[in-house]
Amino acid sequence: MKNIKEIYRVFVLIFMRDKLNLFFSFFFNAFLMVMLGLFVSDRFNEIGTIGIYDTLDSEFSQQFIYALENEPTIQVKIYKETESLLEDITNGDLVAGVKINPSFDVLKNAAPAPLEEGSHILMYGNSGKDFWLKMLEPGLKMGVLKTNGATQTLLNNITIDTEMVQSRNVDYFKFIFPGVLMFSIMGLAFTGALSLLFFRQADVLKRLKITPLKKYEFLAGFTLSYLVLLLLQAVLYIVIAWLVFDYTFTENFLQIGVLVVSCGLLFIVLGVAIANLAPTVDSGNNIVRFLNFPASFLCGIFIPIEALPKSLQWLAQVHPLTYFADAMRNTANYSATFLENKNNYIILGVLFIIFCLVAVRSFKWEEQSK
Amino acid sequence: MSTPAIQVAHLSKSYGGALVLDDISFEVDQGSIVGLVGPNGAGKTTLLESIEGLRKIQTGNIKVLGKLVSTQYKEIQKEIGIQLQRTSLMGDLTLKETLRLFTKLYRVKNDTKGLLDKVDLTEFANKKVKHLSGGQYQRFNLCLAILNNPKILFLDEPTTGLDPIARKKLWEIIDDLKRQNVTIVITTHYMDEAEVLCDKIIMIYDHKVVANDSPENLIKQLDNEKTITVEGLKDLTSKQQADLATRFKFKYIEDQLFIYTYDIGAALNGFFEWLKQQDKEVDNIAVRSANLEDVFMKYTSTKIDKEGMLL
Repeated sequence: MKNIKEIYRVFVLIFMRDKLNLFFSFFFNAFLMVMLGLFVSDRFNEIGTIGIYDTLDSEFSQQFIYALENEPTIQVKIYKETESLLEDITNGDLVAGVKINPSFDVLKNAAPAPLEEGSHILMYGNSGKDFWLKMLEPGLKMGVLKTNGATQTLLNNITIDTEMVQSRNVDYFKFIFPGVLMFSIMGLAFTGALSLLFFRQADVLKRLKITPLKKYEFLAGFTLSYLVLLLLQAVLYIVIAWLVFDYTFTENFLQIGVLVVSCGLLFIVLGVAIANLAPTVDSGNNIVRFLNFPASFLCGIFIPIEALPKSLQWLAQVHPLTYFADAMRNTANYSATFLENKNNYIILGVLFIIFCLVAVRSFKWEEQSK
Repeated sequence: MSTPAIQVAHLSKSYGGALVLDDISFEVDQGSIVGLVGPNGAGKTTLLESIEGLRKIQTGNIKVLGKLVSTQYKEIQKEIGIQLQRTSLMGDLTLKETLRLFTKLYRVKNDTKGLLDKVDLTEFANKKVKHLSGGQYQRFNLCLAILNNPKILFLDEPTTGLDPIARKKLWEIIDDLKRQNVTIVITTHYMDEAEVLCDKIIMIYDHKVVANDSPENLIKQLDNEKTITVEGLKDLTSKQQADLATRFKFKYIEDQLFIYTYDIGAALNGFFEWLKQQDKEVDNIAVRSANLEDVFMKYTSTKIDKEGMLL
């Protein structure tokens, strides 16, 4: 264990001292993620559609709907029942549903009495569009204000209850974030593993070979160091997503942790296997590039796999990142359980065992084993 | 009589059908310094790394401190120190951090200051390895090789590429280790280094041991010859070299002529006469006693002769 700890410590130190590597591994991807999130995210360029079910159908409620229809950032769709409204939210067609309750009419008074129970409006929120919901609530209140023609004091008397509805659509940042997280973990794991090729070529590993250090101790220490580094990377990304985009994971933290660690482990061992089998640093880099570059558009990171041509979809299934991105998205955005992700875990487990065997068996301290 | 530090018996090795070591046998006494010398590609490093346990033994056997390298390597590993020919360390670690790593791996007490003192690098303890000069780097490598207090130390070309001052400094450290009764096996291209440092020279040529004795005895075997070194003798034809061979025992390498003789006066007179006949000019002529370099040329020239160059 002491040797493992020493090797772990040394590789973390070396990584932390390489400022350029640190920047590109930790901050550059985070910066890109923020830029992409800010510029491509639909919150800035999409007109949200809200569904309205008017249970009251009064003159005042019709005037309120008319006021909402005249809002430039909102499209209104009228519903005659709650069920179809909820169904469209679930399908992702609506950012929210608004149910005008019978008590709504009291808001036509300049100073309505507070409600003893219930609310004037019940809002069904699309769980994937929480940014919209934050804007919508004040928007609805302003709509009432415009209809009533009353003063600001009415605002405090308007009550809106919100119920969240699990929907199948998420905003673009929510879609890309789990994939970008996995993609970045893969990148860092490969970067680390490829450093082995350099250390081997420079005879650094040969110098370690002549010490009492065992092969498994070295590999364990090395893997541990990059595992810790990529955990730090994951935390950094999650914090940035939370601070900039108000992105929060579901409460399923255990599975998110398991996914981050297993993604890191799998790509570290795959990287080590590549580093063992590639004859030069250049060829190792090229193999990694071959895995890295197509992953960004093939594995459902930035583009949903379903949106790819059929001929490319099967290719996505070959890349392990597809399964990690899918499992992470299901977990982070839809609270999928371990059992619901079991297909992903089975495929990834098999791949891990294969890569692990190749990495350990093909490991060599020197370029040429003589 | 104590067990020899190293016993190599009938060691042969080949890579892809090419013979690299051909029936090598020798012994090294404890506490001695032995120099493995030979031209590039002779098999010195392969021999050294076979003894160190880094290369598989194909034929023959090697014992280090009485233990078989092929089966008892783990026990031997703790007793030996190795400085590889082409070693890179992790350049971003400081000397102190590198020492910490290696002392932990060897499970020895971490006395950074004491270790760096030995190689005169104490003031660089917090400097990154990549910022060391060539001489400092080699001394630091030596420091790593001795941190487990080895009984046998293997140094593969430790002074290659160093300036004379750095070489001398390293010699002092090696000499110091010898006084502590450490057995040292050193490979080198520098014959002066081998002559000064080593108690015994094992000369490898064409993958075989061609000489194995003390430097003094090897030089004596040249029959106390003197060497006349002639520099700047350009473009000697085969005919001219054949003519010279009728008059002297010599070797001609890259515009340099080495004449081996007992009678300096007669040899010089004869050479000047020959120069006049051939209408040739030279840059410099020097006379010196025979040394290990001459021994080296004597043994290596045997083969060169067979390949068509004149003796």
